[in-house]
Amino acid sequence: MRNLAVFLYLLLTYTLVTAQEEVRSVKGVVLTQDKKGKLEGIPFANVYWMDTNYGTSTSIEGTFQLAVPDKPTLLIASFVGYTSDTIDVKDFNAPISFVLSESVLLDEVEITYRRKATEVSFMNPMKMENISEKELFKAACCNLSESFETNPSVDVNFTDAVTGAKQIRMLGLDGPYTMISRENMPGIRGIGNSYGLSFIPGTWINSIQVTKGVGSVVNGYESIAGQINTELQQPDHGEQLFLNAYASQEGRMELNFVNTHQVNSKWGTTLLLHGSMNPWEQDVNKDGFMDMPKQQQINLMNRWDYHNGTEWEAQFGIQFLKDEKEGGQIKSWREESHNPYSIGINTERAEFFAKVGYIFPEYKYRSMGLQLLGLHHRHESKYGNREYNATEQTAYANYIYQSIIDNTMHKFKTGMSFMYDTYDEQVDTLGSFKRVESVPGTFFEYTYEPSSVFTLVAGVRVDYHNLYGLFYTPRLHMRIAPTETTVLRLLGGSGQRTSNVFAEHQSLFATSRTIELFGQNKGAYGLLAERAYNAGLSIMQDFRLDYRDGYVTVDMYRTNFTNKVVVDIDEASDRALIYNLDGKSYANSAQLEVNYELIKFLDLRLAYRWMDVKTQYKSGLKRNPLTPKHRLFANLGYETKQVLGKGNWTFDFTAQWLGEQRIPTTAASPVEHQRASNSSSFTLFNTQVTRNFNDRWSGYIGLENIFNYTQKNPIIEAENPFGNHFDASLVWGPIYGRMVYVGFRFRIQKEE
Amino acid sequence: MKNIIIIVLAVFSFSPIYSQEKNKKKIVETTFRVDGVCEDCKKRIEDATLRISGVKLAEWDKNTQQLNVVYKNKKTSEDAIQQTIANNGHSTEGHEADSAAYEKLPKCCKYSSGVEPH
Repeated sequence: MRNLAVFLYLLLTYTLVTAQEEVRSVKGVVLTQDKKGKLEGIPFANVYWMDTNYGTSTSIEGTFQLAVPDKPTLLIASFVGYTSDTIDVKDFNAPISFVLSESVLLDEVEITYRRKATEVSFMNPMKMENISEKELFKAACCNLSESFETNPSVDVNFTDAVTGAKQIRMLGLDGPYTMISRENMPGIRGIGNSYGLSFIPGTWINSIQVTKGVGSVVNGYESIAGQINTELQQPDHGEQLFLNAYASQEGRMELNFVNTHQVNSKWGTTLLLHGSMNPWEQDVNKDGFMDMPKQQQINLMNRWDYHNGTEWEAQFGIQFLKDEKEGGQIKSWREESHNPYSIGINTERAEFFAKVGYIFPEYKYRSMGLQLLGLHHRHESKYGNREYNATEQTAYANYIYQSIIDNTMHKFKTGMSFMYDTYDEQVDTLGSFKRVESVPGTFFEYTYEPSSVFTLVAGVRVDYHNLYGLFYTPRLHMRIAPTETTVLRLLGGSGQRTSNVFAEHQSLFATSRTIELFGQNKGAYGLLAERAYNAGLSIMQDFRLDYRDGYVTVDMYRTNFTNKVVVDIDEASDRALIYNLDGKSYANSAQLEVNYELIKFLDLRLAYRWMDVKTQYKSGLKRNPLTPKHRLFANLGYETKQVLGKGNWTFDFTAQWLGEQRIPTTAASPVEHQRASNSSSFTLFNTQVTRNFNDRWSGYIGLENIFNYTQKNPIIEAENPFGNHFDASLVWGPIYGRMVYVGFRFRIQKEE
Repeated sequence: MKNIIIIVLAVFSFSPIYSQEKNKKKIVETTFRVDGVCEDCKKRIEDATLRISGVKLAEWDKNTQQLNVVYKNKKTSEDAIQQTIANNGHSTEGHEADSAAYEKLPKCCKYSSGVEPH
């Protein structure tokens, strides 16, 4: 294959050269490697023939074309901050590539220009929003689920009124359809799905990348609605010391500690610790149930980095987590009743991960990497007299080989992966479910980038699932930049996943519904795998108005399920049916977003999203329950002047409006247990003020849900939780009202 | 009818030219040298400049050491801008950096103590 490509190329260049004759010129590219070994063109680098007047500078992508003088000398490439390189050109027809390394001085400098807290990359073929640490600070609490408060693309909502669990939603689809990865390795999936977001402390996160629609085939086949990748603090870019304490009116207290230590020039280590608790019972809405469960969590991670400075790079780490939640009826009810309704959820999780990367020293564009992950997850839960217990063990390996075909215009990644999961579940009265999933797979992804105007990424995976057989996952991403300020992106592809239906819908256990499982197929729970196609289009336009910058994006996505595990709570208020989709299920979503610096240092973000999400239930094609059709979002951020050696203030204000949501039928229930068929629309306002005292200390105070909006009576038949109509899962709005929180951060930057 | 069109055209074509003339005087663009060596410097120089009332745009280029400023000349002047930047520790074409402010600069930004652009 490669020989053929080289041959074709030679043929092509030969014909071109003979056609061009006379004016001899050399073509090439000036590249550099970033810390991960990825090659990137250096724009505006100088390329010249030594001791001559022949010189040029490179294009945005780092490419150049330069006439050859009559007496060719050595060709030199140079750029500020990089070590210059010299090549003695022998073959003037072959493309020349320079790889410049950053001069040592630059490594020591941290670049902290005033960058917007959320940036959408202009060059990335996928529309990826990067949420930086700065943005994460705007939502001071607490874990991954709260990190999207200032991001209009990701919705976060409570799954029920009793466990405090939150789930995200993208493109109108529930959390499990979004692949949540940690440093591009499997993150939150499997049994950990419903509570997993609270297992990643917010202060451990360095940045988050949000990509809508199907992701890269390199990371697997599971992403459908999108991908959320979290990068945690690591020796490479962490602060030397970071300490954070937080307390809220809800009674939640938190301590976070991150310490990075560079052992020597090759080894570095980071220790991440998190402890949180919520020791008090609170029942603001007086329904006899705690609004948030009492909770305690200990979470720790230790990770190591190795760089030998040139070709080898390795990382490995371990993480342990123990989380206990205790909720349900409050003390006064527990004392009165012989049989109080209580909730207990315990999680234990241990994880090991490793990454090894190798860059071929003579061919900097060629590299390979191996990712390994092993985890054990134990979940025990009790909701009144219903129980759900599960154990998961996962082993994952992914080998990636990356190189070019002839030149850096044609890059490819290929490799093999292996995913091995064992599940052992005890589901209430339904009995026990055990299964093993073993999925070897292989992938190939080709990237064509002839210029900064156009990029195409075409990938395909072939995986063999022991339960579901062989399947293909094709994916395509395209980026076109017709002008310097406009980017158009197109994507399409498929995704497949096994639904861990009970783990993902644990709120079902916080109801009195009878769970009826209709599974006669081969596969998990007798159900088929979920499979969907996703296509999307986005346009981004940068603009400068009255000397201040902004951008507008419009995007549209459609997801079509060819198979789905449907949880139907629309048949009757005392039943929950689980079956494979028979008919249509789709999600359309469109979003308009405007970002602009309204007046100097005041950033505004406005967004509107429309979602049309429907599924064929036994009772007909209906809007997915508890999913708003319209959402409006506004965020204002202001930063005061930073005086040398002193601190400054930052102010942040967010408002969002959610349109009405469909509530599953309660028509057959007695009148006092009935609910309206649609929720009311509502608006939430949050604000936060941060005072940066100096380079090290900062304190913040925030107010969530300023106007104290709550969903009235979120629990149906709360007074009789063992009754036939009890349901704590029909939650569409906030349960806890206005909330104040305070916290501080202390950090010591790395020595320069 | 024809006359009306001419009048209307005249009025319309006159007024934008007139207001543009006025605008040109109000908003001034200028470029001058500011010493600095790194992205931290860039952030500091641009931030200090933009914080001045009347300044609309400030872009500093590390390689050329030139600061491009757009400002309303009713509210501030080039000299005042240069003075402010100097007060924040960076020497400009017209003003030497305030020495106390220069002392407070981080090590990496000490442009007059032999730190190379990086």
